Amino acid sequence: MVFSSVTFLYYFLPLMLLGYFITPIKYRNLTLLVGSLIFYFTGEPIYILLLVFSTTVDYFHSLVISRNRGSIKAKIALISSIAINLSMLIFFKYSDFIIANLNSLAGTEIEPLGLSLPIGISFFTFQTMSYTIDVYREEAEPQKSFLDLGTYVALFPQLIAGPIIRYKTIAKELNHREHSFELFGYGVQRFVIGLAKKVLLANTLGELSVMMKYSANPSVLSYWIGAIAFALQIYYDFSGYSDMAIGLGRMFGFHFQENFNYPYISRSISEFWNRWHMSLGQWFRDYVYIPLGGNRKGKLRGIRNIAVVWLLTGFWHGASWNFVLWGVFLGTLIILEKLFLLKVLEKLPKVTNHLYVVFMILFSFVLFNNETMTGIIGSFRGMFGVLDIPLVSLESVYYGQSYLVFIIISFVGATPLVSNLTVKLSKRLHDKVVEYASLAVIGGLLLITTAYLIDSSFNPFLYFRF
Amino acid sequence: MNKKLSIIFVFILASLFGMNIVAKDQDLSYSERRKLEQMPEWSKEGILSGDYMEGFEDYALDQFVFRDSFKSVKSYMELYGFWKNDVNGIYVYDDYLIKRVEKYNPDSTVKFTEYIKDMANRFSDNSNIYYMIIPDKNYYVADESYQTIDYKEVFDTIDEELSGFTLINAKNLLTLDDYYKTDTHWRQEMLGSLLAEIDELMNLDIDFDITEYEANEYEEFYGVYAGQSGLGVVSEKLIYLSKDLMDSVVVTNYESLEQEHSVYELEMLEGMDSYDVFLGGAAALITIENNEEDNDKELIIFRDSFGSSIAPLLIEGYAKITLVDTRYMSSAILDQYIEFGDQDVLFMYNTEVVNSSQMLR
Repeated sequence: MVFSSVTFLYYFLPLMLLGYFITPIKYRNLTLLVGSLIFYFTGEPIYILLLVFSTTVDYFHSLVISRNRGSIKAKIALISSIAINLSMLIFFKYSDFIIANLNSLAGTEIEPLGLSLPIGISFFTFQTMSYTIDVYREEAEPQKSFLDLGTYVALFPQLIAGPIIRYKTIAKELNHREHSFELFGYGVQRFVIGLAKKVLLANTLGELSVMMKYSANPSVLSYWIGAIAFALQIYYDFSGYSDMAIGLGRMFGFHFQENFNYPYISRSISEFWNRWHMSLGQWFRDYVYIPLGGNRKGKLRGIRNIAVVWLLTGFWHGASWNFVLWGVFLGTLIILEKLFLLKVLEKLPKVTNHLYVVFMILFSFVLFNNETMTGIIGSFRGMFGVLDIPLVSLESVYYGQSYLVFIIISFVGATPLVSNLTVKLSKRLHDKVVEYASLAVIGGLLLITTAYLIDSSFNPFLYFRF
Repeated sequence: MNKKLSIIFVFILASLFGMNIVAKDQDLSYSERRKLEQMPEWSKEGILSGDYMEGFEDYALDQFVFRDSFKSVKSYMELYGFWKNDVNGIYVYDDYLIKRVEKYNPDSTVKFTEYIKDMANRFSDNSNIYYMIIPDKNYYVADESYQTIDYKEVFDTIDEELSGFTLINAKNLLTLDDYYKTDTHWRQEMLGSLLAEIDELMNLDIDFDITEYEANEYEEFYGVYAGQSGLGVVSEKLIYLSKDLMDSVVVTNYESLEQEHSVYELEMLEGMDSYDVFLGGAAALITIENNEEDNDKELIIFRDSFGSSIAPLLIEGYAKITLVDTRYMSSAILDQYIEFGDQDVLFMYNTEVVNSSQMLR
């Protein structure tokens, strides 16, 4: 089940909310757990067992760790938990990738396993691993209740597309949550805006991107429109999903950490990565970069550590070399920035910094969007006019113009401008005006988004590789 | 404010949930002219494979309350909120709803001409072969708008390949006004000049005069694009032209031989597609026998849906007209139903069929 569907919005969610709020407080985690398992079951009726397995493994391992603090047993339990989770992830996500590469390198002819990727496996394994590691580091108390741990892992708002929630972030709230109209209403706002970002903007941009990709009359313009549309689609899809997750979390009394912070206004790639998919960046920082020594063991080590993190980050996004290439590309830029580029950027005008980031990210997403080397090279050649195609074609002009308003809205919406304007207006205008305007906007967005879902022919779920 | 927001949100969710549960499932969508998805069947395999959930979402979407209204909301947002040029490929030109052809298939034009030539060859050398390509509505606005099909190339290719046959140049005799505003088809009552041309070129000797026909009006016609576009369009007048002669012809539809048929199947006017009033709509094989005609001339029309509305106006010229639609029957079995002799043969197809000629079997 996905959030942007009428099954979720008008069947699951109303029942879930009803079930949750009529349940007596001490059983609410159980209600959430059951609801979340049903939510996951509808998409993964068989692999739901992996979710249960991962939770069980980390539940017992963490208890062992906490009962054997300081001893070698704790360390073994930690390593065991990580090994089991990683093995599961590698097996289901990367086995065919490994087989294919082995076959081409070593000339073997191993049959691919053809396993389908359990939805959300990259998120929940990282989450359960972070729990065990935090218990080991004594940054979190082990959860004695298996059901409560299960609730944390399976929590449907963040289960299939993040953000990656650290256990310690919501440990207190697992045991005790406040509910209020303030919290719930804020959650509604975040949820509806996220839903609109996904359905109105991301899906439309995705449509445009695909149309340009498969255009019968490609032109340099169509390549650029396609690349820009894809970069915006990915942002709105992903950040929209995160908004929905955060919003839903609030409705049920949880405060999840933010996952996106206007990444496209960054002035360096290093900054971009502190604003994009922040929960993943923080995960790799806390569990890979810092344990490897971070930047405290000399320049060379620091560079190596960045490289390792970025190789893994790329790889995490999908079992395909183009994702690794994407990671290497961004990692290289970050290393260069750390070495000298940041200093250069600081001396340049702000505009140059922004253009640098926008273009580098645009190019990185071209890598992201093409699984084969041929595709990647073809796209770049198209964009830089090296292919035998015209600068513009009637088709690209027609669709560029048709989607222009969407593109402009997407550009503006990717900056804090709308948010800032809303805050300024709210202070200036009468309270009642602000109130009714907000109600109208949120209510209107919900209904318009529903209309788009009902008449949709294009509603992709981009996270099937995660 | 957050309290009111929460209430509104829950209210919208709860009411749409409640209404969807309570509302009876519909079988058909008149506006979309199709069957609507029904609740999928429960089965262990279906649930474990994920098919059930997919089916459920399709069902929930199709059966959503106020579906047509929601579609309209989207269409209006697309066109007037987001200023898109079209919605679901349909754009507005003056008051006309026109659907752009999705992709141009030049190979299809060539295959089309080969199909026609092969069919024509099955008739005797004495047979008079005519062809008429009817432009889809996009043709008439092609100079002023983005189009996918290269109409000049299509017509030039066809005229070159079929130069051995007699061309009835419909595109020179028709304008956009001769078509319905919300439908693909031409309007029967506007075919006067085209019929005059046909009369002359095909030697019908009927001195075609449209004013001799009685114009029967149906005021509530909503063409195919009315529903597809989701835009609130006003209904159009559908006119079907009748003459006394039409009451005495014998219409046979080979897909329903046991039923009696007539030139105009009036009960279709209130159905999903009012245009089906013309000869009952899509059919593989229909014959119209005119016992009042002195000659024994026969006409075979290889046609698409445009043929249904022009054939009634040709009845006077022939003792028997056979309408063949090879999108619904294979041409391989045609000789069980037609004698390939020296009848007049008319190939009439619109440009969308030319562009997807794999439809012709």
